[in-house]
Amino acid sequence: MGASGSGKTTLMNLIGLLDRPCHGQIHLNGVPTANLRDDALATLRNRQIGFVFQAFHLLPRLSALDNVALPLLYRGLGKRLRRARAAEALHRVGLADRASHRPDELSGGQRQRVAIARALVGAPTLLLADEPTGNLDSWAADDIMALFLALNRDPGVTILIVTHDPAVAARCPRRIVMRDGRVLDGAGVLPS
Amino acid sequence: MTAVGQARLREVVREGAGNLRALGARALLALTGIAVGTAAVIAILHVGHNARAEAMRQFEALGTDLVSITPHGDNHDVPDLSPEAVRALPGRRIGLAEAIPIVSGSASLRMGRASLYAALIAADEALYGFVKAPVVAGRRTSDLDGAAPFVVLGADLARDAAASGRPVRIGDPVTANDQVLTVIGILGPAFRSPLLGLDLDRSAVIPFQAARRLMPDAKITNVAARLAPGADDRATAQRVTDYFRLLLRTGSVQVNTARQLIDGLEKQMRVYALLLVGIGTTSLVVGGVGVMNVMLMSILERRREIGLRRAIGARRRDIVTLFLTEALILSGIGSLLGTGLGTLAGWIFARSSGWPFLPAPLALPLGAGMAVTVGLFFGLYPALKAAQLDPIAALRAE
Repeated sequence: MGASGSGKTTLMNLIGLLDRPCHGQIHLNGVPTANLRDDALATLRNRQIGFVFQAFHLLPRLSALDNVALPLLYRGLGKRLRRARAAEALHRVGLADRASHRPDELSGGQRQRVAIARALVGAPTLLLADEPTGNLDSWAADDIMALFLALNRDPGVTILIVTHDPAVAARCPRRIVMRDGRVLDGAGVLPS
Repeated sequence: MTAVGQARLREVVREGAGNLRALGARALLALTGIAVGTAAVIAILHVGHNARAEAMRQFEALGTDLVSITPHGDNHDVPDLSPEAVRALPGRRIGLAEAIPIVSGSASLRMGRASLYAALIAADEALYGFVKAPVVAGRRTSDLDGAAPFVVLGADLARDAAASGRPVRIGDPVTANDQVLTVIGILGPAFRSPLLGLDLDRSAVIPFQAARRLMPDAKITNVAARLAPGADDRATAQRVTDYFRLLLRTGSVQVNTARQLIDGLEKQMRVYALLLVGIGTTSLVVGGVGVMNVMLMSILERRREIGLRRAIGARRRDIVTLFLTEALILSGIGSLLGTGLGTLAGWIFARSSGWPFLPAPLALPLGAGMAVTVGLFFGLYPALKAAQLDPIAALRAE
């Protein structure tokens, strides 16, 4: 967590391989990423990382199910398999009964859950959520946080949540504080 | 292509089509541009093809071995060919199998109450076979008629005379240039010869000798001839010219062969094809700019979608494929519509000209080719631009 402008989102973009660092190196799951080409980065994002955005970023023309299935398209899976896995992911976030709805037929909390299902569908090792509750009322935000914590208990999924909201941060088992582009430890002290 | 590849392609196409449907009126506008451009090219192609086929049909009806020999004088002083010299041509073995002297002029004919303006043709009996004119009533003029005042009427002439009075019958008197002739025969529809300039349907035919009675200047105006089998048309033309140069004191003859005329026609068609390429290119550019415009607008509106797709693992080439497919579908549908419209226009033109419609063989591949060219050429730039978008900036776009 950190105040706005402290570099949280930039760090997240770097970890998510959407941006390249000017200095230093990023190792993802032990793989150095500095020398990878654009296509290889895209493949890594597709297989290792799931993104959840503050603005959901669902495609308005597609049903919830097809929105969730979208990342698998770039893995070259057939349509039937994609939809089966997407239905599974929707079930995990508790929206199995909303599969055929379009995003504009869903509430904000439901949309974010669809987006989380989309992030989960490729079975990533890392889930990056940038202010996932920023556009939600406190009830829905609570709901989403509970979902994240439940998913985190599944072994294998690391969840990184970016937030400036102390209430959200308080529920996370581990906190990393940022200020002015620097990473501090949980207590707000620069690590030595 | 594998089954998986086919399924993938079908999906990509379906998705592109869905995205275009979402564009609505704007896609329709770009589509119209391409359709109109394609329709213009396809229609011109069909019309050109049919006009050429019609011209060839006229030539082929009478044979492509026709030769026309026309006396050609200086200062309007047309040289006087002797009929004997003309009739002797086939015997000279210089490449002609047949040569028929013709004196043609014009006359106003009066039949009963009808008064008609017609071509007056004085020729040997052989002319009827030459232009394949059938007799529907009476008989033809014969070489044995000498200078007798007999006349044979062409099909249209007989019909027009019947329309303004009573039907023409054998033995009826006809007044031509203040001379009274007797109708001895009526012709059925004959072939027109563009090379000889003869239209027997609108002519009154008299025996060759009778020209001296009816025409003030009874010089031979034209010779209808036919090449001997295997004769070279250029060499024959030269030999015929030489033959008459020795006989004539002034002037010369001009020899035209059907093959020369056909060659000229082909040359004209090549110029025409060049024009076609010009029109096609212009309409291609106009339609293509429309497609590019729609695609650029679409990409501007869908920046967040592009950013999202990149974030969840779409490679640059996946984005290129997405937008290029849309451009190709757009131009494909436009070209399909245009090809249909153009063919319809060509069909209507052929029908209203009284020709049977022959589809131009180039029309379909050209229509499809235009679609692919426009789609690829004008879709590639927007697609590449979309793929170059920075995913972070694209995701943040409003």
